[in-house]
Amino acid sequence: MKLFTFLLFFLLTATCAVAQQDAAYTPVLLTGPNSFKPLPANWKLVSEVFFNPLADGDPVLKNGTGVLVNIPAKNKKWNEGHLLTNMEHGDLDLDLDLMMAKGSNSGIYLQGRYEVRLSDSWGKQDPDYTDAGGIYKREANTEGAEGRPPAQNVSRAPGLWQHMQIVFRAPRFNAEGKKTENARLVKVIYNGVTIQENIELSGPTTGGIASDETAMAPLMFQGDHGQVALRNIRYRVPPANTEPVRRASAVVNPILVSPGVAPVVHRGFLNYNGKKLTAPVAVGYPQKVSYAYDLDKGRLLEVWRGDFLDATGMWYSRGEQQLAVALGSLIVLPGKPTLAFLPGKDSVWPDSNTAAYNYLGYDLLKDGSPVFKYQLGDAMIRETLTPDNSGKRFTHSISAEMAKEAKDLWFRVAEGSDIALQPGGLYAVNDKQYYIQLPEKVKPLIRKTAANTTEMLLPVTIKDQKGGVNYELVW
Amino acid sequence: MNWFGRLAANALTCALCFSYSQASFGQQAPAAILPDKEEDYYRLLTLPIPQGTILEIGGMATLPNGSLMVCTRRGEVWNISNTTGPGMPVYKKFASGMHEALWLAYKNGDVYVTQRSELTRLRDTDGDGRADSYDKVYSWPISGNYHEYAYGPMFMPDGNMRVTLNLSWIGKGASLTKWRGWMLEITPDGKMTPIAAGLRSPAGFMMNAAGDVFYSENQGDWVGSGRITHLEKGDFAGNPASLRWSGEPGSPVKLTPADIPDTGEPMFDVAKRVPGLKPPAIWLPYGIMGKSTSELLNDYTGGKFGPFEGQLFVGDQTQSKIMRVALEKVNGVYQGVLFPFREGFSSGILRMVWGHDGSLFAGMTSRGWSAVGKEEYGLQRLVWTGAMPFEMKTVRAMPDGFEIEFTQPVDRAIAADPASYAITGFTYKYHSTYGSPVINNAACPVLGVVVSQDGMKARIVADSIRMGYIHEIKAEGVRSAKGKPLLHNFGYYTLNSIPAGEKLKITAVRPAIAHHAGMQGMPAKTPAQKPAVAVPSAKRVIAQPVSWGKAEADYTVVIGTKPGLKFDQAVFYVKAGSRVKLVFNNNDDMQHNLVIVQPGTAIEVGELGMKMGLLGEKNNYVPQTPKVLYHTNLLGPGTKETIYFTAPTKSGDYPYECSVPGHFYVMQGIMKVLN
Repeated sequence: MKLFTFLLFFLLTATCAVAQQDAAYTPVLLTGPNSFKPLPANWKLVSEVFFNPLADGDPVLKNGTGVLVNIPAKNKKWNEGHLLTNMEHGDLDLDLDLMMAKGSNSGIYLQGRYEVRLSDSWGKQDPDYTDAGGIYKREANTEGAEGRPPAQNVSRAPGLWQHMQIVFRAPRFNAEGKKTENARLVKVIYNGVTIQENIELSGPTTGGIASDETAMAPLMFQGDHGQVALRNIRYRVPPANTEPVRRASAVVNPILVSPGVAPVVHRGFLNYNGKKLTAPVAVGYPQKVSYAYDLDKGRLLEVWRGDFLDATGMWYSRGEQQLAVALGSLIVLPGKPTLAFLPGKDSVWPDSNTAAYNYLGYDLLKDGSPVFKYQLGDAMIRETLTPDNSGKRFTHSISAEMAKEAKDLWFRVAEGSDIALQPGGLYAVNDKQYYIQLPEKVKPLIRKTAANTTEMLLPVTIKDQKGGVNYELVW
Repeated sequence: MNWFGRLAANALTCALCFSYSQASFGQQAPAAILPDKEEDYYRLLTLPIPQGTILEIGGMATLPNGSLMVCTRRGEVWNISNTTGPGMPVYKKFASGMHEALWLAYKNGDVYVTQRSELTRLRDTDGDGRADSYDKVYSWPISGNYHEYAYGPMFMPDGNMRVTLNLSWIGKGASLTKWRGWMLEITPDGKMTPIAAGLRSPAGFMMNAAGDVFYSENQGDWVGSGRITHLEKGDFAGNPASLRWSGEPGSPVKLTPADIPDTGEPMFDVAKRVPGLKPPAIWLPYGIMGKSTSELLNDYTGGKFGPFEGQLFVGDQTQSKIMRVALEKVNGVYQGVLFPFREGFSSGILRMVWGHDGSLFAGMTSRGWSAVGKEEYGLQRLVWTGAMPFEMKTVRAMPDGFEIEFTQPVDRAIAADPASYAITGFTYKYHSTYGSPVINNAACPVLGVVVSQDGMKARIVADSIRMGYIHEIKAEGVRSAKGKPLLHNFGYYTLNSIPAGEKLKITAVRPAIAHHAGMQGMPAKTPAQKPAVAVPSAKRVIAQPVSWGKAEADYTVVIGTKPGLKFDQAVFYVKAGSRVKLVFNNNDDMQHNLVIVQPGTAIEVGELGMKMGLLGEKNNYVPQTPKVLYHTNLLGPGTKETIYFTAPTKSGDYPYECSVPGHFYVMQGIMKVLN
């Protein structure tokens, strides 16, 4: 129904040329002047897509509108089946959601000519220019000519909705039609992280709609390579650059914290949901995945993929903010305590365990991972979050020791706008923001919260004074 | 004495002779003896640190095996072995990831540090030289304010731990969360008892052999100058922000913020009518004896560090030096004397510990505040050469003056001459304003001196000694029996109580000699307070001159500050002879001024300002010299001042600086006057 709402709202106001100066984005529609050229057969309009992140197989589609999915035919031809807009653009600020299938690749061609790569680069440690967010090489027949990898690999699992924003500056020509300035990728922001900035493009990429360069041309989405889904595609003329010019006297050498061969544990202040937390701990792994955990309340705050931390705010001069900043692509979690005693199945999950929770410290495992220790009521808890070797998943686990019998200790796995079981057994959380994988045969309690979100809980069974629970966060 | 002993004695004497007077070695006449230097007696050695190890030392302890365990402001703990050589010291990381560790203690195989919000025990359970457990002993709430530093633990004999908490800073000291500005006691199983309040910046504290606890304080709001206070349970040490929590259960402090008057009277006087307010045992005159008092280290080395066994060494972060304190108890009250000891450290001293050989290790960092020593961080070692310096060993209060005990016999005739000495009494204001000028300074004429038979003591009888006042005691004229001047010829005695006892009968009252009776660098003062200078100065015009009429100045320049002793503008341009309105906005958390000087005279003017000594603050650290063109007054944190002046008619680069002692070396800019 999203599409019809857009049509009603914008049909009267949309114009052909991209000449608007206002800040609002214009959506790209399916019909009307502000739309795509007729869809090739490989592009379908659906309401939902499932791509299996862990196994090869066909996608599962749901009828409806709102999502464009590309499923190239088995006998697809090279350079056919691309998606093109009716509108032609010069400078462009493009914003969209995208979803990759396992092993897939595609590309966004600005002006149908300059490619920003889309790819399933999940878990790749050293991305190259063919990986997600990379700038593909020029047409010139030299090895990797001007191909540029993304500054960080912030790709998420196939089948999850990811977000990209591209700010593009078209080439400039003089009155005689001679090019005076190269096209430029002003910014590519992928999953919230700037992965390309101010990169000049000396010429078009191979496989575009033309080899020449021009002031205005359509936007293209590559359709001949792999399966990809798109939604919420919108654009505008980039607003004037209001970033202040960096003054010579304001230069500060950043102080970055990176894991080496062992994980790094880092205590410092962190901003979380607009608030400065004073007792979080950030842990960064060599596999380039990290998380932040709040020792004050025993709750997982966020996870991120990419570079670890910028500690300039802590260690430059007086460090007046004492703030560390996560550098990778964040998934901010709801930040409720991991464990709680719930008297009944309808008891509301607490925002904080206050008096019952007593932080004790952390131990370091042989590999350097921390194990957080705390008391919750009468239970002694050990909690860990550790990634697998590829960095594709975190195992979040607790072990509990309790002298008394306890039937009401619960473990909160996730909360989101929805939690939906997918074909293959994974649960997709928060409109396919990340997956949860439960151990075999474990049946969770999934219920609505007072805020009309959905949460997943697991009971912690204490037997012989011990109990344990875990799940995997796959993203 | 056998032949070996005689040989050794001779060798020692020769060595002493050589180190005492290299100039006179081999000379006939006892001519000009080169003055001793501190390094003749205490050698300063630098420990190398591997590049990339940012050793901003916050805490240090010496381990039983002689290694140093050191924690840093970046939350790391390093085990440093082979610190005394030969060969290079070896650095092994023991722990990391903590939030600003500013103190380290070692007990029973465990390392204890304070982070911002937590007292943490680090334990190496598997013996691999790295901590495996980071356990919380106790934690306290924090607001996130950068000034909320925490220090400790100091282990008490009963196994409990003492911790102190810095105030928050919001343009002035504040206690934003519970127990900021307090000393706390924590049991090994994490039970907390509040001990004392009124602290502001309690980076250093210690327990002496008698079991008494002292802490060091930094000049600031309610703290006229640096000080060392004997802190007992229930004491209030002076800054009222922490009294916010005095009503909490378990608080032994009964005072409330409303009980503390903000009059600017001396603290000693206020303490007489506000029971619970504890005046310090030692005042450290600001700018002369440091600016950021830090570590307190008792000399219990048994003589391995020279002749000052039992005395107290005091570190300073800004002036990169160590001072020396000799405490005594008079009528049950702690007081004593403060001397210079050793300067020249490479960065700001925060921590000091003894090596097993009685050498002193200084752990240093200056990031964010600047220090005389230019390195960002460092680790140095001070070693006694074994030679005896000629010093005032200690000063004791007497019923009628003071008695100086020297480290070596003095020339008795010179030492008996009152003209060899000058004593001045002074104090500071106790008020909410940041810092304080010296007030009520007055000479204490020396009436007579009695020198002991062995030449080791000089008992000075002086007039106008005032209880509660700091007394500057100069002994510039004194010479050793061998003719040497004192290595350090002045000290500051904080006189909280005057001992009872027999006064000496001094028959001849010698007149005070004018040029000796004054304070450092300034002419003699009468006991009456000189009125404040009310004559408007042409160098500081703070209202638009009438001659400018209603017209705006040709140039309006606004200059502020940046952390690390910097102006936020390094240069500004004006035309020669133009009218300039300059707004100086001191947005820093310490005092500054802005002084415009003749080309090339920035350091010269700054050093003249330093020579103003104790009276510098009252005169805004602006010396009387034609090299100074225009200036603001000394501004407290968060205040601003506007001055109006006409730019010089001669073009050139006219420096402007903050002439507060120590600041002017780096805090400079240039007013470029163009044709």
